[in-house]
Amino acid sequence: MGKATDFVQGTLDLLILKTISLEPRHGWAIAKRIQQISGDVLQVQQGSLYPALYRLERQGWIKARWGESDTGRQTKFYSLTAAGRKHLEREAENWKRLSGAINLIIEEA
Amino acid sequence: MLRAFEKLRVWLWMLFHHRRASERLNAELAFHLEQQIAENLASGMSREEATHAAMRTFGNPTVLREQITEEWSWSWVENLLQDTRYALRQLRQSPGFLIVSILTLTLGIGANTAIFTLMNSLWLQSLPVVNPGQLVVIGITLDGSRARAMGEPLNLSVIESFERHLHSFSGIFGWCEYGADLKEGDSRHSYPGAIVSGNTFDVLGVRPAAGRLLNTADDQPGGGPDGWAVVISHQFWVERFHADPAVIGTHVTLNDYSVTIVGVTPASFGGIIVTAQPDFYMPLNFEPVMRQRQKDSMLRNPFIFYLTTMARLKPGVTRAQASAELATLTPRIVDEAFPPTMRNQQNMRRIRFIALPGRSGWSFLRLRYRQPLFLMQALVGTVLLICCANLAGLGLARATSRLREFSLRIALGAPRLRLMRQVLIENLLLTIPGALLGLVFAWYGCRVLLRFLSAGLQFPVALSTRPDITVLTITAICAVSSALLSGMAPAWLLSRTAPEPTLRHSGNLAIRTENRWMGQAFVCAQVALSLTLVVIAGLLSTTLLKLRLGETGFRTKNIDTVMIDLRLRPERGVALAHLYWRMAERLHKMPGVIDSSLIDIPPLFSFNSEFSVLDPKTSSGTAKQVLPLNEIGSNFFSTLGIPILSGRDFVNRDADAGTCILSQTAAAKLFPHSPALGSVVREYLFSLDAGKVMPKDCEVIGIVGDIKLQNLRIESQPTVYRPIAADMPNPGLMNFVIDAPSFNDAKNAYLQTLHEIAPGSPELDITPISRLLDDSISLERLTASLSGFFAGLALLLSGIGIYGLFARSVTQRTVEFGVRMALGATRSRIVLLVLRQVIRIMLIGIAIGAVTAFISARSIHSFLFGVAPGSVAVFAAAGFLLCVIALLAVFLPVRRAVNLDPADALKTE
Repeated sequence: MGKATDFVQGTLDLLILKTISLEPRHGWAIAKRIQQISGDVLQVQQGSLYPALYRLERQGWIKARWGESDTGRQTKFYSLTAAGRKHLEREAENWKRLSGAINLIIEEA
Repeated sequence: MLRAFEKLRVWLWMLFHHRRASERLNAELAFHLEQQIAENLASGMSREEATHAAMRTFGNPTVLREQITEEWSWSWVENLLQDTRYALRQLRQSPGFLIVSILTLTLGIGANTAIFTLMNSLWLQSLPVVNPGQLVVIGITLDGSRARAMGEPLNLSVIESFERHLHSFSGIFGWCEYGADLKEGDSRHSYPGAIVSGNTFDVLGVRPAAGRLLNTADDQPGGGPDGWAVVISHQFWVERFHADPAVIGTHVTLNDYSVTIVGVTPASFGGIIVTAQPDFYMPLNFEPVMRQRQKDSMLRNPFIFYLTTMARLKPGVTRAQASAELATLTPRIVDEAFPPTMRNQQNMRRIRFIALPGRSGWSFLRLRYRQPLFLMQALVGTVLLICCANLAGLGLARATSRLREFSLRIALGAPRLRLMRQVLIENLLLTIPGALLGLVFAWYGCRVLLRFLSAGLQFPVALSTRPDITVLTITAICAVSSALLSGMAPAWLLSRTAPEPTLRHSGNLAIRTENRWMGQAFVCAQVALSLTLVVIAGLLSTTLLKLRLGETGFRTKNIDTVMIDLRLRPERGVALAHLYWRMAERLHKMPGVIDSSLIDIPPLFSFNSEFSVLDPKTSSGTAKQVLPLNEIGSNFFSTLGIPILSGRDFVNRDADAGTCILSQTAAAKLFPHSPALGSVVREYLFSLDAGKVMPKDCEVIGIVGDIKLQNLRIESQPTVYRPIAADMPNPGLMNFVIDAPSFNDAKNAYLQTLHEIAPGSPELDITPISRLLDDSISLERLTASLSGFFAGLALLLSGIGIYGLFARSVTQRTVEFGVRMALGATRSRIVLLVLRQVIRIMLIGIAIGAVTAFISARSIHSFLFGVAPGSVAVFAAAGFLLCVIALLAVFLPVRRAVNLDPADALKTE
């Protein structure tokens, strides 16, 4: 396991929202999914993940449900709320604009 | 919107399921850890290795948990709990302070709650009916002025006329308090009752607790389908019939006639007269039946106004619109409903009907109690202020002695706001128990107050004393504002504390002069407010003494009065007068009776008949003078010890007809230039039947001393006494006055006479005249004792405040006194030093207090009798009393200062 990659807080929120936009997932699955999709580049530490999840829940972007995992253990599953889905679209749009702009600067300048 | 709701839900869940949320978080984190271990095992590690590696990756779970739970915004609650626990520890260290503060606050807040509870139920509480805001009381105003509008009672003709012409109301009904004598076997007992229009309950929208309520079919001449239907109160139903539904449909004997109980009002409903809760509701048309033997029904008598009239506004109609309609229609209604002799009177052209707010019902006692209740509220409000000043002074002292602690906390980084919150929480911990105990105190206090207010009334004043949400809010406001007021000074002190110099100096020397100045200001304020209370209490007590012990002109010891009600007997006119005489004669000869007589209007009744004297020279002119009139039997003056100055007494014979006796001042007033005895007084009598003046002559046969017969506040008036004789307009009500050394002898003599001479008449209560005296000044007794009690409390608090200030001041000046004594200052010099400070504070306090006391005394002048608002004696006595209290309070601190050993004192540095 490599060193933790520091995320800008808003970026982590965006990743979490995107990860659970298709189906509800528990915390472990969210972390794994982000790691897999990013080809092990992005590793989410528990110390960032769980505070972020609770914060997002309090802000009403995501909601939690108590359910059973594949291994039969009770754990919390997170899914997007309607407001969260809109928030995700807005944030993803922002991110595309921002990262596009940064790419331009890095490649052209 | 939805998201806000979701956020609130999550927040509340976290707040109330703190423990479950923690458990779930733990479970979630444990699950994560297990997954990590499982993954590590899969990659080929041993179990032990896998576990350690997983835990390393996971980091410190406690830190993580705290990081997350901090986001649940629990910290402020936990901080609050921490502060509260600390405050409790602090308070436990000074139990004396704790007990004194809570007790004074209990009295202060409790007294305010008690008085406000009564004001609330007398004026503010809405009737427990459908849409009470739509209800109005129809009253009368002169010249359309709202200020002088009153809920004067009207009568049935007026209400019927309203019903014919008015369009603003969906229903109008009349209501009159009417006593109900319930006969069970041989015993009779009186209960409060009311006669009401048949539509009353429909208009109010009240639902029965059992059976049905009265309706228009019940209120018909001759009765309704159930005969004479009556409704009983819920309280009566529960207390008398144990809430037995079988009582519906039974017959009882009420005021000598059989009635059917058809239903029970709901428990919350106590009628529209907030001070009188009827146990029996009877239809209006039952009244003539109950009065048929006496032949004095008021139901259709156009001269009697007895019905409190309420109406419900139609939806959409405002009270102003209804008043406008009433005003426009007034002339037509007066024409229809008032008899000609009345509507032609001068004032009748000026009256207008008006719709007054009816949301909170009505009471005639509102007018009577308004000033006393406002006075008492002001008194107890002042007491609460003194409590706050006291608490602020003590709080300041505590803050001063904890200055090092606070400085240390500031130096260690505690925000000042947090320290101020600490002080505020400590104060709240005093005021909240104070308020809770105050509610209990108020509950009992209200009962005592009501007993005072009910003195002399047939049925006790039935104001609700249940604290409703308004009362609880006021109590809470009292508690919080007391905490804020008394916490302001210590908080201010904190805001100005610089930690560095305080920590550098040793304890006491760090007290700056401004803190001392502030402590003195609080004591000054207490002295000033206390002086005001003591002066008010002094004035009210003097008033009470002057009223109670003042000269009445008649004997009050061993005199009893009792009413005789002969309205159920057939005798009228001459026969009635003869019956009265026979009773008087029999009573006079009873054992144990020294003297006795008859009187029409009993002493201290606050009411008198009037006697209009016509100028003797003209025969049909206008009335010349109106004097109070009373009708009496022989021996009245000897019974009450009133001197007969000249002439003779009445004799209870037909020879009394055409005679009268004048009081001294009446004689001087009517006959200023000639001897009154033997002269003729011509009475102006307006006969409603004949429609003209029918003068009547009577000869003055005696002159007697002046007495205060009507009311202790009214100086003795010139009075005309007429004999009980054939020509008096008496409906069958008379009173005995009995002079008997033993109350029981008087009572037996009365009962025996009644049963012998006038069998079948009701037995009524016999009352010592000294009780009538007390009852007639019950409000004065209430205000005097209440103000006395609170003035005493204020003095005690001031004493504590002064003691606290000087005990602290002596402690702070220990070193100074030690130095002075070491340098040769004598003990008396030290005493003078302390006393000089005391005198300065007292002088300032008393000077301010004298001004506020004078202003307050001026504003209550209408309560005073026989004493001027600026009475020098009262002011001087109050000032003296405060000085004595101050000297007592500083005695201990001064003694400690004097007994200081200079060597020890210097060592404390």
